[in-house]
Amino acid sequence: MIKVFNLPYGDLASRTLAVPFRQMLETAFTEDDFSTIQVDLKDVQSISESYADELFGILVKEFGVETVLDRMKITNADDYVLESIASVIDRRATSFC
Amino acid sequence: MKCLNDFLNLDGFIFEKEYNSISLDPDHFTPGFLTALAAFIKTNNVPEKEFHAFDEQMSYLRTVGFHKELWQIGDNINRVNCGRTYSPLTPLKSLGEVDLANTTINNCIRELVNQEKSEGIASLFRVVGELHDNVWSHGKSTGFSMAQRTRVPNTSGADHYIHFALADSGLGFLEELNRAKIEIKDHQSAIEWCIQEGNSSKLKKNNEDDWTQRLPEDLIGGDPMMGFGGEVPENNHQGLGLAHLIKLIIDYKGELQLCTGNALLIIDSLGKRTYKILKNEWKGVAISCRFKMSELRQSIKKNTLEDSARKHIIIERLRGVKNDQSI
Repeated sequence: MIKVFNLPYGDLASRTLAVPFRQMLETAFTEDDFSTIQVDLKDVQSISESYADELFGILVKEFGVETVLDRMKITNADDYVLESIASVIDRRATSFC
Repeated sequence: MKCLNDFLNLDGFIFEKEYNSISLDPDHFTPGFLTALAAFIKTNNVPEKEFHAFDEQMSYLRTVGFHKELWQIGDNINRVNCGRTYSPLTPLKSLGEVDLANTTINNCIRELVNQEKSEGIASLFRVVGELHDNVWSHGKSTGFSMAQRTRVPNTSGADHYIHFALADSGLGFLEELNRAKIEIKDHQSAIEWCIQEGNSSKLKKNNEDDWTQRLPEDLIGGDPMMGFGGEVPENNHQGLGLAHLIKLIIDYKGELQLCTGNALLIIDSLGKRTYKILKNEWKGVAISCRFKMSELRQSIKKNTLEDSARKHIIIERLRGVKNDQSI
């Protein structure tokens, strides 16, 4: 099963405004342990590291990097946005080593 | 061209406290000057009838939205160059509007850079986002931001500066740090502390309970803070925003003026840092920076090979490309 989530349009910056979206992803992660969680970024033009950390970094902190990378896929993100997300995931993952 | 530094030294305008009036000098102004001016007018409640400028300046200020944002005076201006050479003066009125303000400015910057993409431009978008987020999470007051493009002298129009500036009338770094019980004595030390990667007055203390600031998870509706700001429901700040700004300035040979209280940090295009002590304190934070387009186009990769390899694996796995390597 694939659960699809869309992030809002624009240049996403606010850590606080990222929280409700992360809570939706948290629910998706905890509802079952097999479905794929697909996050569609087709409307996202840029993403600050604060927003990316609040959304994706905290998921890594809560569920672990391997679980997040196994189950969550990101679609329609340009290379720069994806690199931002990878940076925060890497930072949260390595900060536990 | 008058810049933020000039504004802070009361150069470029006359403020008559007795009449609460401002008269602009006949000059041109950077976004750093204009955002500080807007925040100053807002803080001092200078009425529109007491704001004086030459016709050409007034016309420009109306066009960038000064009158609309500061005095709610509607206009029917056809802003044909909006996004080509300037962004509108963009207010940051509430927590819920951070992303909207950020999108407005970054959309304009996209136009200013002719939709070019590069690592430097993408980094600029990210830093502009961090700074917008910082204004609300630290300033908790109205701020203004603005972007503009100008020609680099002696390049026959071949190269341009991209300016970005933001000013708020919030607590300022020193008061914010002192409220967080971080012992810093003066404004310059506060700047030095805040621009270090990993330093943030919002960093969670070791003994801070994860649940103390948490809103109910089933909360629905719009702005959870009702427009009055407040703490981030769950505090995950990492103290990266200003550090990333400084890194961007150094990597892409940008120029920076950053002021809070009586301290002004200036970084020139060679990376030389200078602190100035101002006679007139700025209550809040004001930041002005500019980059040459020719520098933003450069590709600067400073990751170690190990970092790059890990990131590559993460990106491939996020894309769903089969990659069995773990991190």
